[in-house]
Amino acid sequence: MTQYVLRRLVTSVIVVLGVSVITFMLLHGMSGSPGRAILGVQASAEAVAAFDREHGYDRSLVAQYFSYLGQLLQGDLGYSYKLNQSVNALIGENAGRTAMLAGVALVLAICVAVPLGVYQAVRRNSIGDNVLTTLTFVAYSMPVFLLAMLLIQVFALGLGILPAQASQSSSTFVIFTEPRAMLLPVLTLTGITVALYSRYQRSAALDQLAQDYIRVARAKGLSMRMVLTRHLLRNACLPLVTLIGMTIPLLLAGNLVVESVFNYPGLGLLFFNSLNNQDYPVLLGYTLVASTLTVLGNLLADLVVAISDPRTQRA
Amino acid sequence: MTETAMEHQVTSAWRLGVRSFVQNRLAVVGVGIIVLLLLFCFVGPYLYVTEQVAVDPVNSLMPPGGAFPLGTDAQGFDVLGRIMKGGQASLQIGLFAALIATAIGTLYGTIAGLVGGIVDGVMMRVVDTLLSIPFLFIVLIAATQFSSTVLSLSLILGAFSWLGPARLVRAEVLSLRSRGFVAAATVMGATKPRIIIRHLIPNALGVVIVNITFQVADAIIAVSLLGFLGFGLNYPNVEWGTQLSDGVSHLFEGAWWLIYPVGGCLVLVVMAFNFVGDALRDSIDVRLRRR
Amino acid sequence: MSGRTRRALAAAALATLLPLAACSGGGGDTGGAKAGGASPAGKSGAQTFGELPAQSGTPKDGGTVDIAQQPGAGPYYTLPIVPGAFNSSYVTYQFQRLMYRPLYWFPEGASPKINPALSLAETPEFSDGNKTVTIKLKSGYTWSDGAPVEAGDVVFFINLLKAALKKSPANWGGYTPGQFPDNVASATATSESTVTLKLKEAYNPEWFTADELTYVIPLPAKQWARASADGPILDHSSPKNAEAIYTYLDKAARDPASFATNPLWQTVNGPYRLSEFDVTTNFYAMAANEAYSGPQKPRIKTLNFRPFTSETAKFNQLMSGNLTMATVDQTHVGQVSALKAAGYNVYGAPRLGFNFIMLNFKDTTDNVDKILGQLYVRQALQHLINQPGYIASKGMYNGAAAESYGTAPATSPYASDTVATAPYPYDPAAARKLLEDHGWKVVPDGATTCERPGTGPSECGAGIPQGQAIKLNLFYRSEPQLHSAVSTALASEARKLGIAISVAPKTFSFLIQNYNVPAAPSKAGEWAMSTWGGFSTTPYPTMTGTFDSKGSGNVGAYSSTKADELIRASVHGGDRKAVQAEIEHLRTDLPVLWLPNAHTIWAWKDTLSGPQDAFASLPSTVLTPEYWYLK
Repeated sequence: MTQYVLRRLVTSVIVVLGVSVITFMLLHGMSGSPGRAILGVQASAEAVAAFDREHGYDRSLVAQYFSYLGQLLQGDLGYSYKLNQSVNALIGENAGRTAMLAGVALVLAICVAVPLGVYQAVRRNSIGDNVLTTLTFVAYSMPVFLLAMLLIQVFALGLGILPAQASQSSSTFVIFTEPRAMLLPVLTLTGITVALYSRYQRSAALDQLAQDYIRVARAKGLSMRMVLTRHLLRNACLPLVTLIGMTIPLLLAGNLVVESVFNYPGLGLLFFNSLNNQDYPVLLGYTLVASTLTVLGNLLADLVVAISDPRTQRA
Repeated sequence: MTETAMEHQVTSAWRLGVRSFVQNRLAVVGVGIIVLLLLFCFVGPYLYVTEQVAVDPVNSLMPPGGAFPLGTDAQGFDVLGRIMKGGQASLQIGLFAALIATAIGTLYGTIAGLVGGIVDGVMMRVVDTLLSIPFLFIVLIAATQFSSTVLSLSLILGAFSWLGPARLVRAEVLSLRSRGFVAAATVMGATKPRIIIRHLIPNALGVVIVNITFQVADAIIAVSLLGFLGFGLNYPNVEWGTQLSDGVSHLFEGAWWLIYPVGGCLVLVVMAFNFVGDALRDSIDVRLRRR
Repeated sequence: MSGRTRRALAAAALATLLPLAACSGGGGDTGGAKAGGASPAGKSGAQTFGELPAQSGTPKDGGTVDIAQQPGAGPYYTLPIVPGAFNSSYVTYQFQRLMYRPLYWFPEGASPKINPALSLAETPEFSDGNKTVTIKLKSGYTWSDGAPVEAGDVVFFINLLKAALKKSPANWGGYTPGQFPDNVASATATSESTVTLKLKEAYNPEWFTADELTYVIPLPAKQWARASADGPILDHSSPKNAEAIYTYLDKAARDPASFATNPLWQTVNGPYRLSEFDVTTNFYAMAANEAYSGPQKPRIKTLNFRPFTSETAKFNQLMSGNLTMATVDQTHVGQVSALKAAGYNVYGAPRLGFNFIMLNFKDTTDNVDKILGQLYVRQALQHLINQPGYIASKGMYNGAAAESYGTAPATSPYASDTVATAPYPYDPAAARKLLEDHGWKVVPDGATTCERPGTGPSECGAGIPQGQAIKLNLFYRSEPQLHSAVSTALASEARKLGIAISVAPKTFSFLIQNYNVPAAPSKAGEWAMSTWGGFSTTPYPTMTGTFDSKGSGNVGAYSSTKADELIRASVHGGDRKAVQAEIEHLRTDLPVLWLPNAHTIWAWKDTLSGPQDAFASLPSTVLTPEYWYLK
């Protein structure tokens, strides 16, 4: 087990390094001088050259990458000249708000998706199941920005009861202090996540229902409710943990879109704005953070499964 | 068991699959929607001819009615015709990207599954590594560096989504390898290429086809996302994501006709592919899950 | 002359615009500059957006004014020698100039010329064949500690600037090698109130005053000429000392956490001083400098500069009455009447600058360099741009722009009456005729090709072979969507004449890094045209550095002996009006294709008033809050 964890940790580090190489080369390999981007179109060639020299942008790509790596190893993600702040500070400032939005949406989504999936599995092919299946199908087939736009159209423009834009407050806890302004972004992210999870949850629960132990439990005379809570829910939750771990990239992507559409000042909006500004250090920094999260998510998912499932543990 | 008997087994499995597929009403609906939308997008422009290149400011943002059944957009293009044109690109990119991803994935997965051993181990670790790259982030970064065309968008999307198919196909090949009929064929002296061609591929084809339908659905969503975020096709070309993105600016002016029709088509087509995929999966009865 | 004279209008100049291409595609309209049929949302051709309200109410002392910062444009540098990386008109005019006043202030209301009333010195005198400048400081101006603003403070600035540039040319955003301060051989304080500059060459006095001396900002030598917080006052005329002083000041100027607390920055000669600076949000506040010695004592006690992440957020705060004043971007122009109803004055005018589609004269792909090198081709392209139509169109400028056909804004004292008159008005038929008259076979919606190659008057021109088609690519800035609308409109018009223009978006940074001939000559073959906004101009609007053959900001590598001569006369000649000939020549020679000049629109509560000039300068981002009062 320890060996397994160690091996996974080592590959995780390699994965993150790989991502840093790919992103770094994609960004720096294809564009001109960063000094030009920072000093502006009319800056003199001398000033641009001096800036590039001072910041090491005149060296070879490989040399630049290794000094970037050196910085990274010291926990320094670089400095954004577009925003005149260190990337660490930028990510630090925004991470709380993004984590809060994503976290609240994720918890809500799980609270909805798990019972929904189990219900559908137990009442398989009932009218309720069919309606819910269709609804999740629709939501699942809808790009996240389209759901956001529909919600804006209905609640902000049509009924006029909710703001079309997220709160601009810099507080991390804005979801709780200004719930009205945060309702639509949270709803959008929750909706998409529910659609994603309940489909898996339904089939996971179906698999479990077909397992022998459930039949045994039923035969022992346990009520359906007992079976559901004791056995089914617990066992069907395992794939959910794995699922959350595995879907972190999708959650991050959904978050990016929701923050851009609702203009919510978090990491997603920061990334989106940096794309348009070609703010390399921020793009690199957040992509690395995102891939670290992805790797950790995968790792966590595998570990949880490995620990809680005696079969994998033995293997 | 003789060769013909095995062939019979394979064909009747297919027939059974087809029967179960047809019995699945959602699947039939799905195929119906796809056929209708294909006709709408690719044949429609011949029946309903509109100007989609020269901008027409005098008739910009006209609500539905009269000469424009679905109104006009901000550049004065007829929205109905625009949806056909945008749909062509969206569907093309979806199909191309899915085919590219599936082709790479199938090849990769088959090789890994057949060769096995260390090669398989290394190849699958590579897949694990690439799966950890946050898809949207890299695709967006790549999209800022290239000009968007149907081909470049298909390539970018395809290049980053072959990992799922690779895993699926490898698993399928592994399980098929251990099945009785393959073993039987081997015992009866069938050569390896023959096994691959006569037995493995027809049996693994089911997984591949199921996967293509899901890949198409995913790719259509992904390209609409790129278009929405501003990295879609350029004038005079258009796809649905770009159309929606342009529509957002006029949402606050009540131009609902820029959003609902194209949004509806997008959801419908993605849903249809998902329906078909689900039904296909049920009908070939492979216990695989998406991704 | 580069970053200094014409900062790219770039990020904040043009706010987010709606996508809609709306030049008239209609057939019948060949009638020149008349508006092309799009929706009449605004009066096209109007030079301003709305009118300036008259001064009203009784001036009252005290009160707080809340001003919106431009999204993403917070000030991060305090020393008035701003490195290129921190440079913007916001850090200059909405931050530093409130605390540190320049030797010569511009503009005067809406007019981009030196404002004698707000300048610290009398008009400079030129002698010795325009090689010696004598600057006499006005008496009575003092620093907030009571010490007078002296000649030594001016010399201190110049010494400090030289030290900064010696360390790195990137240390001052306005630097162009060979120009200020390189062209100053010596700066001496000949008396307490007189500075004498010896110049290396003779310069046009008008240019040197308006475009060079306007960058001089006297600094408190008696407080700042140290190498550490408690070190002694050093003799800054020694380059070694000057460098030590610069190093110390530069370090402090980069530390936002101490901006409001470091006593250094509290010695000011402007009407306000920094009282609060929040590092995480970039909120900052200014308090009135009670000791301000200028012509008008500040009446408003506190200015709060509130940060925003987006235009929409800013607009919503404006609508809900939480802001006293803010700019209104063009997505919200349609809601101006609602703003007025909510008790705001709304006024807009073009910035000091001009907008364009850049042409690449070095793109050899498909002989683009030869084709664009022909004046008649450029004229034909300009004939396809419907400025009045673009301005009127709801999806483009929505009435919030002024027609503009040259390098000088209509408000410039050097601009002739013709500057807002199209030299080549929207007229596709005229464009077609130009091509046909020069040997092209025009195939509408097809490929127009050269039929009669050669250099004769009715032939295509040098280097254009028979059968050559006109294939141009146009890269537009991905944000705001205005650029997409304009590019699409031009491509659509061109197509009708068989000219293939393929359009594609790129980010602004990508464009200026890659599609920029002096900066990236190896990529010159990849682009034919680009559009990303414009340049801002100086009071004396010469295009040195921009349209002279060797200018480092000459993005499209335009080169013309005539233009070079005229620009040289503007900078070095003795004729104070020389720039007028330059403006007129460039207007018709089309170094770029002219686009309308977007209005910068401001809204402020009608409880805030003051002389009209104090608000007329707002569109240039210049604030003179000492003249404002709350009724």
